Amino acid sequence: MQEKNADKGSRLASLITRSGIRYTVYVTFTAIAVFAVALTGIILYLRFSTQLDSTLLNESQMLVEQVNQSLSAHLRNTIRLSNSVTYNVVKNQDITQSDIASQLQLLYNTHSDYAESIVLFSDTGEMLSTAPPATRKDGADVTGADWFRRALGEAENLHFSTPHVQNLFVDSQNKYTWIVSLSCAAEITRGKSTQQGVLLVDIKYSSISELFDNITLPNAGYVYLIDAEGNIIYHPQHQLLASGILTENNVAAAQLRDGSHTMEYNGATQSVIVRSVGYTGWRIIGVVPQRGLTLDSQQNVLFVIMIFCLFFELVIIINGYLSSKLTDPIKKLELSVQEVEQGTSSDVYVGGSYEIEHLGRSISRMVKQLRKLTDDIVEEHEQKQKSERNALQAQINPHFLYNTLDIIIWMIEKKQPEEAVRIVSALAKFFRLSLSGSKNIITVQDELEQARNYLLIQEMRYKNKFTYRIDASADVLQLSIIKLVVQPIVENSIYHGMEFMDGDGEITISAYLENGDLYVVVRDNGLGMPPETVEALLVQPARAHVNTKGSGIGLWNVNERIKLYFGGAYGLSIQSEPDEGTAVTLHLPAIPFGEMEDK
Amino acid sequence: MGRIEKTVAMIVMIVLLTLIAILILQSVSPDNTEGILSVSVLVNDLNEYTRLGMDKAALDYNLDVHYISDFGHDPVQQMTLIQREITNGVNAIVLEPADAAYLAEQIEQAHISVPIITIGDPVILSGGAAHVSPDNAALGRMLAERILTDEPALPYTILMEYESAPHILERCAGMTTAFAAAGKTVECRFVENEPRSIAMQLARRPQTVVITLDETLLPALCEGGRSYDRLYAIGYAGNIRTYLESGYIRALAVYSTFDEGYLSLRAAEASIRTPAQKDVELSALLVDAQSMYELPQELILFPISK
Repeated sequence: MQEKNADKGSRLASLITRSGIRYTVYVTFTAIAVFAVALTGIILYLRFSTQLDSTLLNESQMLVEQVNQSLSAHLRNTIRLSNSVTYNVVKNQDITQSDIASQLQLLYNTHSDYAESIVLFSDTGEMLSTAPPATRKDGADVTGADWFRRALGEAENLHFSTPHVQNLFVDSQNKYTWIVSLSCAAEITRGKSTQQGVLLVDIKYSSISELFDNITLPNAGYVYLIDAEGNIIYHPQHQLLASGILTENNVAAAQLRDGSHTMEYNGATQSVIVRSVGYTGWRIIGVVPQRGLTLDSQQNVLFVIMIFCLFFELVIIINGYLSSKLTDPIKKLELSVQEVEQGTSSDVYVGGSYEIEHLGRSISRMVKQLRKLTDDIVEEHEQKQKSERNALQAQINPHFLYNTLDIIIWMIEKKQPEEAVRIVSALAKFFRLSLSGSKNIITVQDELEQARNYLLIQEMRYKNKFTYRIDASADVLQLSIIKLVVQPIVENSIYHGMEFMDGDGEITISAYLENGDLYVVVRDNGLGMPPETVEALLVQPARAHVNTKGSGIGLWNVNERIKLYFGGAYGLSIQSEPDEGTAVTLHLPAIPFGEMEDK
Repeated sequence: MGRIEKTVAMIVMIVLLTLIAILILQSVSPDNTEGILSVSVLVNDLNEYTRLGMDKAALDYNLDVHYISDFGHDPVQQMTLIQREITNGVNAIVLEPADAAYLAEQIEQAHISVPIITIGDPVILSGGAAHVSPDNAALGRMLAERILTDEPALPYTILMEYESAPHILERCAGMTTAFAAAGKTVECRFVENEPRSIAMQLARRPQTVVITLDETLLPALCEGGRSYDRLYAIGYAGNIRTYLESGYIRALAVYSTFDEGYLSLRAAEASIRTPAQKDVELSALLVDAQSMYELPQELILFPISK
């Protein structure tokens, strides 16, 4: 699994690498923007939903509480009416003597807006008084009625019934009235005896239902009323519940404590608010469906999708423009670099943002520098070749060779074979070193040997006009040096310094290490040179007078070759005083032979 | 922009424009306008409890209901009223057809597109019309089974008005089938809706179980019948309460006429928003003197009103 994931990751990285920078930037920006907005939208929606749900729930709770207070006040009025009858009308009055009926009627008239009837029964069910006057139905036995039995059985309490149709009295108009009965025990005095009776106050059901009729909760919620057992007292769809067309979760709601609850019913989630009504054991139940509080309707969903699509479209267009703006200069830079690589152009694109422009300038400078370095390398190579050619030419300079052969013949003729052998040997060694063309870097020892051979030949040629000495410390002999850099200096020293000496000429070659660098100094006590001549010696031969008497390589050539090999810090320097002599110093790095790449 | 980006942008733009078009259409569509919908009710002799149910539905569903009940069972007049209501811009019609077959033909010919909801007898339309009623045959069977339990040995007579509506005949068919299944025969007699006529009819009969299949004959039957007859009926009216209470009417097979009214208007409202509504079947139950003040019978016989 880890290998698969790693494989997927590497493929994704490969895909990103292969895709253009513009495509990567575009897709990344768009994905991030869409994700950020979607995440923000979802968070805001959830937050909004939660807050809205909370607000709506609070609102619902307040409404339910208001209904509770209204109902409680209404029931208190009813209880007060019952108490008035019980304590002010019935109790301590002899019903055989007092006009209870008119007192009942008075009370009824005062409360007829919600009272349907007030009836006083004896404990045997005999109707003693009623307001308004009414005829009891034949065969209507109240002693078996639940309200009657409970009133007598629990004399200290008031008893509220569930709603029912009043069927005690005859109604000639065939009308019916829904009522809620309030019953309680009443002490009845007849003559000298007292007995328990039952007071029945029938409350118009409409007086209770009116408190609920216009109460609607958010999101098509509603309020209903149940008794302690869960029997419905009021419900906005009471009729449809009775015929089974609708169902309600009233039995479960009766088990809930006061407060807010969440319930599932018929596949829907509901917020259920429960409040107990005082005096009765009834409960007010508020039901708020939770589905679709915010984005329920199809229109809202389509609207949200439309906004998302609009945003997505804007992101696509803006990101397309921005990514192009950012990456087009990079593309132009890339194309110009390709053209430079192919050699079809020499200009690098400079433009775009600060970083791209800076990059372009840097690349342009690098290209120019590379070009210059390439040119320098080519020039160095050419110089080296020219130097080698010159050196070769110098080595086979006919004048040098003729003169040297003349000396050899002369010595043979003069019967100085040893001297002749010495010169021939020196000449052979000289040409052996010079004509070994494959190597440009040789040891200091070999270069000094070359100079020695040359000096030996020239010493004889110039009939001992000068002497020479070569001093080299042992630690420099195996260092690297460019071929044919000492001999040209010695040559110049002989031609410009020793020619007019009378045997007291001196040429000294010394090689030593100083501050970690190699120094080779060719010193003579010859005629010396004025400063302008010194300056001209290090000038390119095309602009200087070329000395055809010598090897023709020239001090400039030597200087340039040293700089090309080792850099500008190294090279050749000349100190000369007219009539004093000249010292030419070669400054080179101290590189052991074999460590330096032969070019 | 690259090709892929242009393609994606084009697709999103098409989706966006489609959604905008849908939202605009939805907001201006007349079918989707919020507000009060208009429904006409063409029922001659509208039951008071049915009216009660319709009034409740009008309140719950924010309907403007126009009651028309003075066309005297005349199907031609009823059709004229239908066309008049449609011309007046009604959104749906609830009717109890005076002649279901005639109205079906006339409505089809007139190419009426307004939703039609029926109570009583159904009107068969090619475009469909929701029908709200009990299972009339089941009503008849239910009452027959109760009668067979109470009075297995007496003769049975069904009294019907002349030219009874098809749904009444369905009840009769259900009842006769149940009696036949029990090996009993039942006599069907057609009478005028008049107490004396009925009394004369019954005077010639020995002790018999008398059955009526709708509430229109019931009051006359109560007034004109003999006290020792066993009276059973389908349907309930407020003016026979004392007869039921006293046990003179032994049992009634009833359905909620309140629900009939409420559900017919609810179906009308639903048909306006979404065509092709289904029929609604009302549940039925038996009521007698012992159970008439118990739930749920009490609520069906005495719907709660304001």
